Amino acid sequence: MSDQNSKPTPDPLDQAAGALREAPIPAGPSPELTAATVAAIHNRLAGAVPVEQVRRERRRRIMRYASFTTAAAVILGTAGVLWFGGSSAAAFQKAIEKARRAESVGYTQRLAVEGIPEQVEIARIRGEEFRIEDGDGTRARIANLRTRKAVFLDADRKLAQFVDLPAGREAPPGLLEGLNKLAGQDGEKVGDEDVAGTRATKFKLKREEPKGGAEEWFVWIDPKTGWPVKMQSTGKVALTQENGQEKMVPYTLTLDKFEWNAKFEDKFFSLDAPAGYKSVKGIAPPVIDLPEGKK
Amino acid sequence: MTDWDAIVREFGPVVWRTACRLLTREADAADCFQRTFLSAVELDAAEPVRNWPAILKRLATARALEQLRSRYRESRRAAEFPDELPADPTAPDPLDLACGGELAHALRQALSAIDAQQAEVFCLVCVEGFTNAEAAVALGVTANHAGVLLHRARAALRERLRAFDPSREHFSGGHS
Repeated sequence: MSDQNSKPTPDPLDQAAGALREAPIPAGPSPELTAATVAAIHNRLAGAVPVEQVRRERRRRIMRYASFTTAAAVILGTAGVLWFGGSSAAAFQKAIEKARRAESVGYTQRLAVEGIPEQVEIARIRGEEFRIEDGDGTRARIANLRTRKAVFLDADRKLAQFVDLPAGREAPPGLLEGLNKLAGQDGEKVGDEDVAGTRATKFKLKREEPKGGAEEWFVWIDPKTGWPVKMQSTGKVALTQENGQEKMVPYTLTLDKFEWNAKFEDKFFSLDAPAGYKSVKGIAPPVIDLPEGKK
Repeated sequence: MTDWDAIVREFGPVVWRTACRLLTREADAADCFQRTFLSAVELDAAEPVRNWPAILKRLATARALEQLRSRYRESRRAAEFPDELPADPTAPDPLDLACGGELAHALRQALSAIDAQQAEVFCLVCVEGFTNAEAAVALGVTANHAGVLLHRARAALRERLRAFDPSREHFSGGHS
Protein backbone atom coordinates (compact mmCIF):
# COMPACT_ATOMS: atom_id res chain seq x y z
CA MET A 1 0.00 0.00 0.00
CA SER A 2 1.45 3.33 -1.01
CA ASP A 3 1.87 6.16 1.42
CA GLN A 4 -0.70 8.10 -0.54
CA ASN A 5 -3.26 5.32 -0.21
CA SER A 6 -2.72 4.96 3.54
CA LYS A 7 -3.80 8.55 4.23
CA PRO A 8 -7.48 9.01 4.95
CA THR A 9 -9.26 11.16 2.40
CA PRO A 10 -9.91 14.57 3.92
CA ASP A 11 -13.57 15.40 4.22
CA PRO A 12 -14.14 18.71 2.41
CA LEU A 13 -17.08 19.47 4.66
CA ASP A 14 -14.99 19.11 7.80
CA GLN A 15 -12.23 21.13 6.15
CA ALA A 16 -14.73 23.84 5.26
CA ALA A 17 -16.12 23.92 8.79
CA GLY A 18 -12.56 24.17 10.09
CA ALA A 19 -11.83 27.03 7.70
CA LEU A 20 -14.92 28.80 8.97
CA ARG A 21 -13.89 28.28 12.60
CA GLU A 22 -10.42 29.62 11.89
CA ALA A 23 -11.49 32.50 9.66
CA PRO A 24 -9.78 35.74 10.70
CA ILE A 25 -12.06 37.82 12.87
CA PRO A 26 -11.72 41.62 12.82
CA ALA A 27 -11.32 43.25 16.21
CA GLY A 28 -14.61 44.12 17.77
CA PRO A 29 -17.25 44.91 18.64
CA SER A 30 -16.30 48.56 18.65
CA PRO A 31 -17.29 50.69 21.66
CA GLU A 32 -19.57 52.64 19.29
CA LEU A 33 -21.38 49.48 18.20
CA THR A 34 -21.73 48.34 21.80
CA ALA A 35 -23.11 51.73 22.86
CA ALA A 36 -25.48 51.88 19.91
CA THR A 37 -26.72 48.38 20.67
CA VAL A 38 -27.35 49.18 24.32
CA ALA A 39 -29.21 52.32 23.20
CA ALA A 40 -31.28 50.27 20.74
CA ILE A 41 -32.17 47.80 23.49
CA HIS A 42 -33.31 50.59 25.80
CA ASN A 43 -35.35 52.04 22.96
CA ARG A 44 -36.96 48.65 22.47
CA LEU A 45 -37.62 48.28 26.18
CA ALA A 46 -39.26 51.71 26.30
CA GLY A 47 -42.33 50.16 24.67
CA ALA A 48 -44.86 48.06 26.53
CA VAL A 49 -45.68 45.44 23.91
CA PRO A 50 -42.68 43.76 22.23
CA VAL A 51 -44.50 42.83 19.04
CA GLU A 52 -45.73 46.37 18.64
CA GLN A 53 -42.21 47.59 19.26
CA VAL A 54 -40.95 45.42 16.43
CA ARG A 55 -43.59 46.87 14.16
CA ARG A 56 -42.78 50.40 15.28
CA GLU A 57 -39.12 49.78 14.59
CA ARG A 58 -39.87 48.58 11.11
CA ARG A 59 -42.16 51.53 10.56
CA ARG A 60 -39.43 53.87 11.74
CA ARG A 61 -37.01 52.35 9.27
CA ILE A 62 -39.44 53.01 6.46
CA MET A 63 -40.05 56.51 7.73
CA ARG A 64 -36.32 57.04 7.85
CA TYR A 65 -36.23 56.06 4.23
CA ALA A 66 -39.26 58.18 3.47
CA SER A 67 -37.78 61.10 5.32
CA PHE A 68 -34.21 61.18 4.15
CA THR A 69 -34.57 59.84 0.64
CA THR A 70 -38.06 60.79 -0.32
CA ALA A 71 -37.86 64.31 1.02
CA ALA A 72 -35.87 65.38 -1.98
CA ALA A 73 -38.05 63.30 -4.24
CA VAL A 74 -40.98 65.24 -2.82
CA ILE A 75 -39.44 68.42 -4.11
CA LEU A 76 -38.57 66.73 -7.37
CA GLY A 77 -42.05 65.31 -7.74
CA THR A 78 -43.44 68.72 -7.01
CA ALA A 79 -41.21 70.23 -9.61
CA GLY A 80 -42.53 67.80 -12.15
CA VAL A 81 -46.16 68.73 -11.80
CA LEU A 82 -46.46 72.34 -10.71
CA TRP A 83 -49.00 74.13 -12.80
CA PHE A 84 -49.08 77.78 -13.67
CA GLY A 85 -51.50 77.79 -16.56
CA GLY A 86 -50.68 77.75 -20.25
CA SER A 87 -49.46 74.58 -21.95
CA SER A 88 -48.38 71.58 -19.89
CA ALA A 89 -44.83 71.78 -21.19
CA ALA A 90 -44.50 75.49 -20.38
CA ALA A 91 -46.03 74.99 -16.94
CA PHE A 92 -43.69 72.15 -16.26
CA GLN A 93 -40.60 74.17 -17.11
CA LYS A 94 -41.84 77.03 -14.92
CA ALA A 95 -42.43 74.55 -12.15
CA ILE A 96 -38.88 73.27 -12.40
CA GLU A 97 -37.47 76.74 -12.21
CA LYS A 98 -39.64 77.63 -9.24
CA ALA A 99 -38.68 74.45 -7.42
CA ARG A 100 -35.03 75.20 -8.11
CA ARG A 101 -35.46 78.54 -6.39
CA ALA A 102 -37.24 77.09 -3.35
CA GLU A 103 -34.96 77.56 -0.38
CA SER A 104 -36.89 75.57 2.17
CA VAL A 105 -40.03 73.57 2.75
CA GLY A 106 -41.92 72.22 5.73
CA TYR A 107 -44.73 69.68 5.63
CA THR A 108 -46.50 66.90 7.46
CA GLN A 109 -46.28 63.39 6.13
CA ARG A 110 -48.37 60.35 6.90
CA LEU A 111 -47.15 56.91 5.92
CA ALA A 112 -49.53 53.98 5.71
CA VAL A 113 -47.93 50.61 5.02
CA GLU A 114 -49.97 47.47 4.67
CA GLY A 115 -50.12 45.68 8.01
CA ILE A 116 -48.63 48.56 9.99
CA PRO A 117 -50.46 51.42 11.72
CA GLU A 118 -50.14 54.83 10.10
CA GLN A 119 -47.34 57.07 11.34
CA VAL A 120 -47.22 60.83 11.20
CA GLU A 121 -44.04 62.91 10.95
CA ILE A 122 -43.28 66.58 10.57
CA ALA A 123 -40.48 67.46 8.16
CA ARG A 124 -38.49 70.62 7.68
CA ILE A 125 -35.94 70.89 4.88
CA ARG A 126 -33.60 73.81 4.29
CA GLY A 127 -31.08 73.17 1.55
CA GLU A 128 -29.15 70.13 2.69
CA GLU A 129 -30.39 70.35 6.26
CA PHE A 130 -33.23 68.09 7.40
CA ARG A 131 -35.25 67.82 10.55
CA ILE A 132 -37.81 65.03 10.79
CA GLU A 133 -39.89 64.75 13.97
CA ASP A 134 -42.36 62.14 15.09
CA GLY A 135 -45.89 63.52 15.19
CA ASP A 136 -45.95 63.25 18.99
CA GLY A 137 -42.63 65.08 19.32
CA THR A 138 -40.87 62.26 21.15
CA ARG A 139 -38.17 61.72 18.56
CA ALA A 140 -36.36 63.83 16.02
CA ARG A 141 -33.75 63.10 13.38
CA ILE A 142 -31.65 66.03 12.28
CA ALA A 143 -29.13 65.72 9.48
CA ASN A 144 -26.80 67.83 7.44
CA LEU A 145 -26.17 66.04 4.17
CA ARG A 146 -23.29 68.34 3.25
CA THR A 147 -21.26 67.51 6.35
CA ARG A 148 -22.88 64.04 6.57
CA LYS A 149 -23.45 64.52 10.27
CA ALA A 150 -26.70 63.66 12.02
CA VAL A 151 -28.17 63.42 15.48
CA PHE A 152 -31.11 61.33 16.65
CA LEU A 153 -32.94 62.83 19.63
CA ASP A 154 -35.06 60.78 22.01
CA ALA A 155 -37.05 63.12 24.26
CA ASP A 156 -38.36 60.33 26.50
CA ARG A 157 -34.89 59.18 27.45
CA LYS A 158 -33.14 62.53 27.01
CA LEU A 159 -30.70 60.84 24.67
CA ALA A 160 -28.82 62.36 21.72
CA GLN A 161 -27.23 59.77 19.42
CA PHE A 162 -24.64 61.27 17.06
CA VAL A 163 -23.90 59.52 13.81
CA ASP A 164 -21.83 59.97 10.68
CA LEU A 165 -23.90 59.29 7.60
CA PRO A 166 -22.06 56.88 5.32
CA ALA A 167 -21.56 58.05 1.76
CA GLY A 168 -24.18 56.79 -0.62
CA ARG A 169 -26.69 55.86 2.05
CA GLU A 170 -29.72 57.89 3.05
CA ALA A 171 -28.66 60.65 0.71
CA PRO A 172 -31.31 62.10 -1.55
CA PRO A 173 -30.34 62.54 -5.15
CA GLY A 174 -29.03 65.97 -6.05
CA LEU A 175 -31.89 68.32 -6.65
CA LEU A 176 -30.48 69.61 -9.91
CA GLU A 177 -29.77 66.13 -11.22
CA GLY A 178 -33.28 65.02 -10.30
CA LEU A 179 -34.88 68.03 -11.92
CA ASN A 180 -32.98 67.32 -15.09
CA LYS A 181 -34.25 63.74 -15.01
CA LEU A 182 -37.81 64.93 -14.71
CA ALA A 183 -37.56 67.37 -17.61
CA GLY A 184 -39.97 66.37 -20.35
CA GLN A 185 -42.52 64.67 -18.06
CA ASP A 186 -45.99 66.12 -17.74
CA GLY A 187 -48.53 65.87 -14.97
CA GLU A 188 -51.98 64.87 -16.10
CA LYS A 189 -54.77 67.10 -14.79
CA VAL A 190 -57.48 64.92 -13.27
CA GLY A 191 -59.86 67.45 -11.63
CA ASP A 192 -60.38 70.04 -8.88
CA GLU A 193 -60.76 69.29 -5.16
CA ASP A 194 -60.95 71.17 -1.87
CA VAL A 195 -57.90 70.69 0.32
CA ALA A 196 -58.08 72.34 3.76
CA GLY A 197 -60.25 75.14 2.44
CA THR A 198 -58.30 75.68 -0.76
CA ARG A 199 -59.79 74.83 -4.13
CA ALA A 200 -56.89 72.93 -5.67
CA THR A 201 -56.19 71.41 -9.05
CA LYS A 202 -55.31 67.74 -8.88
CA PHE A 203 -52.63 66.21 -11.10
CA LYS A 204 -51.42 62.69 -11.63
CA LEU A 205 -47.87 61.59 -12.48
CA LYS A 206 -46.36 58.15 -12.76
CA ARG A 207 -42.64 57.78 -12.01
CA GLU A 208 -40.90 54.64 -13.18
CA GLU A 209 -38.41 53.17 -10.75
CA PRO A 210 -34.90 52.46 -12.08
CA LYS A 211 -35.11 48.71 -11.35
CA GLY A 212 -38.75 48.15 -12.20
CA GLY A 213 -41.99 49.07 -10.50
CA ALA A 214 -43.50 52.50 -10.39
CA GLU A 215 -44.64 55.22 -8.03
CA GLU A 216 -47.87 57.00 -8.74
CA TRP A 217 -48.13 60.58 -7.52
CA PHE A 218 -51.17 62.76 -7.05
CA VAL A 219 -50.50 66.43 -6.45
CA TRP A 220 -52.99 69.11 -5.50
CA ILE A 221 -51.90 72.61 -6.60
CA ASP A 222 -53.26 75.94 -5.44
CA PRO A 223 -53.75 77.69 -8.80
CA LYS A 224 -53.45 81.10 -7.15
CA THR A 225 -49.96 80.55 -5.74
CA GLY A 226 -48.63 77.72 -7.90
CA TRP A 227 -47.51 75.78 -4.84
CA PRO A 228 -48.79 72.30 -3.95
CA VAL A 229 -51.10 71.98 -0.96
CA LYS A 230 -51.13 68.21 -0.84
CA MET A 231 -49.20 65.32 -2.40
CA GLN A 232 -49.77 61.62 -2.26
CA SER A 233 -47.72 58.74 -3.61
CA THR A 234 -48.40 55.04 -3.77
CA GLY A 235 -46.01 52.25 -4.56
CA LYS A 236 -44.25 49.33 -2.90
CA VAL A 237 -41.55 49.31 -0.25
CA ALA A 238 -39.29 46.54 1.08
CA LEU A 239 -40.43 45.52 4.55
CA THR A 240 -38.40 43.14 6.69
CA GLN A 241 -40.69 40.49 8.07
CA GLU A 242 -40.34 38.91 11.52
CA ASN A 243 -38.51 35.97 9.92
CA GLY A 244 -35.89 38.38 8.57
CA GLN A 245 -37.02 38.03 4.97
CA GLU A 246 -37.89 41.06 2.92
CA LYS A 247 -41.27 41.48 1.29
CA MET A 248 -42.48 44.22 -1.02
CA VAL A 249 -45.69 45.69 0.41
CA PRO A 250 -47.90 48.56 -0.78
CA TYR A 251 -47.65 51.94 0.88
CA THR A 252 -49.36 55.33 0.67
CA LEU A 253 -47.39 58.43 1.58
CA THR A 254 -49.43 61.60 2.03
CA LEU A 255 -47.87 65.04 2.46
CA ASP A 256 -49.75 68.21 3.29
CA LYS A 257 -49.63 71.36 5.43
CA PHE A 258 -46.86 72.65 3.21
CA GLU A 259 -44.90 75.79 4.09
CA TRP A 260 -42.88 76.75 1.04
CA ASN A 261 -39.86 79.02 1.51
CA ALA A 262 -40.53 79.04 5.25
CA LYS A 263 -38.08 80.99 7.40
CA PHE A 264 -37.07 78.25 9.81
CA GLU A 265 -35.12 79.15 12.91
CA ASP A 266 -31.57 77.80 12.98
CA LYS A 267 -32.34 75.87 16.16
CA PHE A 268 -34.41 73.39 14.15
CA PHE A 269 -31.27 72.19 12.35
CA SER A 270 -28.82 72.38 15.25
CA LEU A 271 -26.70 69.26 15.60
CA ASP A 272 -25.93 70.03 19.25
CA ALA A 273 -27.45 67.95 22.02
CA PRO A 274 -30.25 69.84 23.78
CA ALA A 275 -29.62 70.83 27.39
CA GLY A 276 -30.06 67.91 29.74
CA TYR A 277 -29.56 65.28 27.04
CA LYS A 278 -26.97 62.54 27.32
CA SER A 279 -24.74 62.33 24.23
CA VAL A 280 -23.92 58.96 22.68
CA LYS A 281 -21.82 58.27 19.62
CA GLY A 282 -23.54 55.71 17.43
CA ILE A 283 -23.38 54.06 14.07
CA ALA A 284 -25.68 54.94 11.24
CA PRO A 285 -27.94 53.54 10.28
CA PRO A 286 -28.02 50.57 12.71
CA VAL A 287 -30.59 48.79 10.58
CA ILE A 288 -32.28 50.20 7.55
CA ASP A 289 -34.35 48.82 4.74
CA LEU A 290 -34.25 50.58 1.45
CA PRO A 291 -36.49 49.63 -1.43
CA GLU A 292 -35.06 48.10 -4.57
CA GLY A 293 -33.14 50.63 -6.56
CA LYS A 294 -32.51 52.90 -3.60
CA LYS A 295 -29.53 51.07 -2.10
CA MET B 1 -34.52 42.94 35.77
CA THR B 2 -31.97 42.06 33.09
CA ASP B 3 -28.83 44.21 33.08
CA TRP B 4 -28.51 44.65 29.31
CA ASP B 5 -25.51 46.95 29.52
CA ALA B 6 -23.56 44.22 31.30
CA ILE B 7 -24.81 41.46 28.99
CA VAL B 8 -23.86 43.35 25.83
CA ARG B 9 -20.43 44.15 27.21
CA GLU B 10 -19.74 40.66 28.56
CA PHE B 11 -21.11 38.60 25.68
CA GLY B 12 -20.68 41.09 22.84
CA PRO B 13 -17.38 39.51 21.74
CA VAL B 14 -19.03 36.07 21.51
CA VAL B 15 -21.79 37.44 19.30
CA TRP B 16 -19.29 39.42 17.23
CA ARG B 17 -17.17 36.32 16.53
CA THR B 18 -20.19 34.28 15.48
CA ALA B 19 -21.44 37.06 13.21
CA CYS B 20 -18.04 37.71 11.62
CA ARG B 21 -17.34 34.05 10.93
CA LEU B 22 -20.48 33.71 8.87
CA LEU B 23 -20.80 37.17 7.38
CA THR B 24 -17.16 38.37 6.95
CA ARG B 25 -18.22 41.95 6.19
CA GLU B 26 -17.94 44.16 9.25
CA ALA B 27 -20.99 46.24 8.34
CA ASP B 28 -23.11 43.09 8.04
CA ALA B 29 -21.66 41.76 11.28
CA ALA B 30 -22.58 45.01 13.04
CA ASP B 31 -26.12 44.71 11.75
CA CYS B 32 -26.27 41.07 12.89
CA PHE B 33 -24.83 42.09 16.28
CA GLN B 34 -27.66 44.54 16.91
CA ARG B 35 -30.37 42.24 15.60
CA THR B 36 -29.08 39.44 17.81
CA PHE B 37 -29.38 41.47 20.99
CA LEU B 38 -32.77 42.85 19.99
CA SER B 39 -33.94 39.27 19.43
CA ALA B 40 -32.56 38.43 22.86
CA VAL B 41 -34.63 41.22 24.40
CA GLU B 42 -37.80 39.68 23.00
CA LEU B 43 -36.76 36.20 24.06
CA ASP B 44 -35.97 37.38 27.58
CA ALA B 45 -39.36 39.07 27.80
CA ALA B 46 -41.08 35.77 27.00
CA GLU B 47 -39.07 33.65 29.46
CA PRO B 48 -35.97 34.25 31.58
CA VAL B 49 -32.75 33.20 29.87
CA ARG B 50 -30.55 30.80 31.87
CA ASN B 51 -27.58 30.32 29.56
CA TRP B 52 -26.72 33.61 27.89
CA PRO B 53 -23.68 32.52 25.85
CA ALA B 54 -25.55 29.57 24.32
CA ILE B 55 -28.68 31.58 23.57
CA LEU B 56 -26.73 34.47 22.11
CA LYS B 57 -24.64 32.18 19.91
CA ARG B 58 -27.81 30.53 18.69
CA LEU B 59 -29.51 33.87 17.99
CA ALA B 60 -26.41 35.28 16.30
CA THR B 61 -26.18 32.16 14.13
CA ALA B 62 -29.83 32.42 13.15
CA ARG B 63 -29.62 36.14 12.35
CA ALA B 64 -26.37 35.70 10.42
CA LEU B 65 -27.85 32.86 8.37
CA GLU B 66 -30.85 35.03 7.56
CA GLN B 67 -28.50 37.72 6.31
CA LEU B 68 -26.47 35.18 4.34
CA ARG B 69 -29.61 33.92 2.62
CA SER B 70 -30.60 37.47 1.80
CA ARG B 71 -27.08 38.32 0.60
CA TYR B 72 -26.74 35.38 -1.75
CA ARG B 73 -30.27 35.85 -3.02
CA GLU B 74 -29.36 39.44 -3.82
CA SER B 75 -25.99 38.49 -5.29
CA ARG B 76 -27.64 35.95 -7.55
CA ARG B 77 -29.93 38.68 -8.77
CA ALA B 78 -27.15 41.19 -9.23
CA ALA B 79 -24.53 38.68 -10.44
CA GLU B 80 -22.13 40.00 -7.84
CA PHE B 81 -19.76 38.09 -5.61
CA PRO B 82 -19.63 38.69 -1.86
CA ASP B 83 -16.57 40.38 -0.43
CA GLU B 84 -14.13 38.31 1.60
CA LEU B 85 -11.77 39.38 4.31
CA PRO B 86 -8.20 39.76 3.09
CA ALA B 87 -5.99 36.77 3.68
CA ASP B 88 -4.32 36.59 7.08
CA PRO B 89 -0.61 37.40 6.48
CA THR B 90 0.37 35.44 9.58
CA ALA B 91 -0.98 32.19 8.15
CA PRO B 92 1.80 29.64 7.61
CA ASP B 93 0.85 28.56 4.12
CA PRO B 94 -0.76 31.04 1.75
CA LEU B 95 -1.94 28.21 -0.51
CA ASP B 96 -3.67 26.42 2.34
CA LEU B 97 -5.16 29.68 3.44
CA ALA B 98 -6.46 30.39 -0.05
CA CYS B 99 -7.99 26.91 -0.21
CA GLY B 100 -9.47 27.39 3.23
CA GLY B 101 -10.91 30.75 2.25
CA GLU B 102 -12.44 29.24 -0.84
CA LEU B 103 -13.89 26.37 1.17
CA ALA B 104 -15.24 28.71 3.81
CA HIS B 105 -16.82 30.85 1.13
CA ALA B 106 -18.37 27.80 -0.51
CA LEU B 107 -19.68 26.61 2.86
CA ARG B 108 -21.25 30.01 3.61
CA GLN B 109 -22.96 29.89 0.25
CA ALA B 110 -24.11 26.30 0.83
CA LEU B 111 -25.44 27.18 4.30
CA SER B 112 -27.52 29.93 2.76
CA ALA B 113 -29.10 27.44 0.37
CA ILE B 114 -30.10 24.54 2.64
CA ASP B 115 -32.96 24.27 5.12
CA ALA B 116 -32.70 27.02 7.75
CA GLN B 117 -32.96 24.76 10.80
CA GLN B 118 -30.49 22.26 9.40
CA ALA B 119 -28.04 25.09 8.70
CA GLU B 120 -28.47 26.37 12.24
CA VAL B 121 -27.76 22.97 13.82
CA PHE B 122 -24.70 22.52 11.63
CA CYS B 123 -23.29 25.90 12.61
CA LEU B 124 -23.93 25.37 16.29
CA VAL B 125 -22.37 21.90 16.38
CA CYS B 126 -19.64 22.04 13.74
CA VAL B 127 -18.59 25.68 13.98
CA GLU B 128 -19.57 26.88 17.46
CA GLY B 129 -18.67 23.62 19.18
CA PHE B 130 -22.02 22.74 20.74
CA THR B 131 -22.76 19.09 21.52
CA ASN B 132 -25.88 17.68 19.87
CA ALA B 133 -27.64 17.87 23.24
CA GLU B 134 -26.65 21.52 23.75
CA ALA B 135 -27.81 22.39 20.24
CA ALA B 136 -31.08 20.60 20.91
CA VAL B 137 -31.67 22.66 24.08
CA ALA B 138 -30.78 25.91 22.30
CA LEU B 139 -33.18 25.15 19.47
CA GLY B 140 -35.93 23.71 21.66
CA VAL B 141 -35.96 20.31 19.96
CA THR B 142 -35.16 16.80 21.19
CA ALA B 143 -31.62 15.50 20.99
CA ASN B 144 -32.75 12.88 18.48
CA HIS B 145 -34.30 15.54 16.30
CA ALA B 146 -31.13 17.61 16.49
CA GLY B 147 -29.15 14.56 15.43
CA VAL B 148 -31.42 13.99 12.45
CA LEU B 149 -31.19 17.65 11.45
CA LEU B 150 -27.42 17.54 11.67
CA HIS B 151 -27.24 14.36 9.59
CA ARG B 152 -29.43 15.92 6.90
CA ALA B 153 -27.46 19.16 7.02
CA ARG B 154 -24.18 17.34 6.47
CA ALA B 155 -25.64 15.38 3.56
CA ALA B 156 -27.04 18.51 1.94
CA LEU B 157 -23.83 20.47 2.46
CA ARG B 158 -21.64 17.64 1.14
CA GLU B 159 -23.75 17.57 -1.97
CA ARG B 160 -23.10 21.27 -2.46
CA LEU B 161 -19.37 20.93 -1.74
CA ARG B 162 -18.83 18.03 -4.14
CA ALA B 163 -16.56 20.18 -6.28
CA PHE B 164 -14.06 20.18 -3.40
CA ASP B 165 -14.10 16.41 -2.87
CA PRO B 166 -10.61 15.10 -3.78
CA SER B 167 -11.72 11.46 -3.83
CA ARG B 168 -14.31 12.27 -6.47
CA GLU B 169 -11.74 14.15 -8.49
CA HIS B 170 -9.24 11.24 -8.19
CA PHE B 171 -11.87 8.73 -9.26
CA SER B 172 -13.04 10.65 -12.27
CA GLY B 173 -9.58 11.81 -13.27
CA GLY B 174 -7.50 8.71 -12.61
CA HIS B 175 -9.71 5.79 -13.47
CA SER B 176 -12.01 6.95 -16.19
